[in-house]
Amino acid sequence: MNRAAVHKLAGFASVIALVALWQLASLVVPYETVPGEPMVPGWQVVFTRTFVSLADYWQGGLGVPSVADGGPRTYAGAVLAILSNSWDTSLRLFAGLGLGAFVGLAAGLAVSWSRWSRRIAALPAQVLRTFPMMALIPMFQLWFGATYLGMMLFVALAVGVIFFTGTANAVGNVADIYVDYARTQGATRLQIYRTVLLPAMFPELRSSILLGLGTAWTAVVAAEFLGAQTGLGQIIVSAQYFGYVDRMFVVALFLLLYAAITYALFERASRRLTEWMPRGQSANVYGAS
Amino acid sequence: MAEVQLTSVRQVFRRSSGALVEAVAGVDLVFRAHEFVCMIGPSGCGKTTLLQLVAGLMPVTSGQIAVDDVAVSGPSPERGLVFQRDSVFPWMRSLDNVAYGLKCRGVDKAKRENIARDYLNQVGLGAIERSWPRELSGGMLKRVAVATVFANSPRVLLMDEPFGALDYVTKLQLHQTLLGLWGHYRPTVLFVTHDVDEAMLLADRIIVMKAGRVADDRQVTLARPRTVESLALPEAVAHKEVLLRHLGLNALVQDGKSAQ
Repeated sequence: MNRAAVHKLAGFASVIALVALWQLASLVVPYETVPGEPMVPGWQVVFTRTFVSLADYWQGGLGVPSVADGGPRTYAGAVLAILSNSWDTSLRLFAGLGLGAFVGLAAGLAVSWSRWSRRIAALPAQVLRTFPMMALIPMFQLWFGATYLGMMLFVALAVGVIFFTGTANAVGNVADIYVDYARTQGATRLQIYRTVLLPAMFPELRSSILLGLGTAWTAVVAAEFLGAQTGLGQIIVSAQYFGYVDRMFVVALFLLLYAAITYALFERASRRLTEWMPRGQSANVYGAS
Repeated sequence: MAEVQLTSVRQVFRRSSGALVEAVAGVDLVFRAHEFVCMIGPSGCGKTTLLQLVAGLMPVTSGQIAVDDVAVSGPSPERGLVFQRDSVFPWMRSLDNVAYGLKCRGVDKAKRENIARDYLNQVGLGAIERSWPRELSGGMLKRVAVATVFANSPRVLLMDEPFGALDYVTKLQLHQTLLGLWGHYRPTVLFVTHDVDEAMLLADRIIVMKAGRVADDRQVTLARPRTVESLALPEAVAHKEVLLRHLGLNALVQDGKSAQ
């Protein structure tokens, strides 16, 4: 068996172990949040009554009435609830991610323009890097209410800070020789940014992008905790209110799935963008080669 | 024609300790058009700094550098530089590397690729135009760098110990490639080296630098192409002896006296 197969098998085995561990925990933890609602719901609960109960979060339409309007709990309602709430969360996430990545990258590149701009930005960048952004959510709530704009801007801020500090750092680590080589060939400053700094810093920026992706998911769900009317974060909060750990758990599984998909998509793009790198150094977000 | 004039050029650096270091201490030189000049000297003698000043990568502390009476105020593709370390962009395929300067100046894609292909062929790398630099050997990377500077049609070619890290055979092959291109396009070449034999093989003129100053300036009138035989002629041996003495290698010279 080759190394890649061993890696794959080991990864698969660890997932199975986690699934089994959860089931074991459900057996040894007998507590309930409210009567009939287990603190640690086993897979037999999750795959039977929990999924269909998500129909509660479908707001009606497409021929499937909402449960609140007296409709029955159906699988169609549950699927529609997941799809529509995932869609809302994704819109906030990707809009915020796009905005934050763009502004953070642009700001990171801008501060690298001169020695003075680097000096001016160094301290704020250092402070921002360690600032717990989630602490700002209530302030955003007051500023923007529980609106799409507010949630998107919050994601953008959390992601933007990571991109900004990551970019400023990565630009600073690009070897001078490449910039000098470009200058002696007549490249303008903008051409140097586009054709030298961006490709040269991408391998180092990769870890910031990954961190930004993870942070974006955390930020969007956290932003939805406070007053959003739709979205996966809102389902978690509303389930918590009634002690429905199983529903929170299922939504968490969906979040896990989405995060894994975004990581995998990024890994694919990253592989293409680092095709030029020596073998063993090109992209692999999971660390295995 | 491209004549390079250096007038009272000084370059002073400040070390991190705060001490001032005079890397180039008042150099007056004229490099004539089409001349192949080698600069030789011990480490830290200021030869690389001088080359970077001519390239325009940093401003001179005082004095002036001019090419055909036009003061150098920054880098230009007219003064191409081949670096000591590998500077070929690893994220561009060979052809795109060679075409880079042309692209920066807005030459359209088909035209610049044809030019780049032509220069890759001239350095013997026609078959690797789609390769990534990571797939090339050290000698091939140097060939790409040489093709790249020539593709920019430089009037002055600056080379900073470009072949220092290469093996003996590859180095000799690259000398022939470089001399062939120089013979064809005739840029003025300023070539920094540690290697006395390399200087004897390549140069019309050898400048010895010590402590930021010109310590010697020698014309080499040996006929070209130079061969093992011509490099054993009395003129070549005499030059070599003086150069070795300048580098402090008196023990290698018969009478063992040091050069002045």
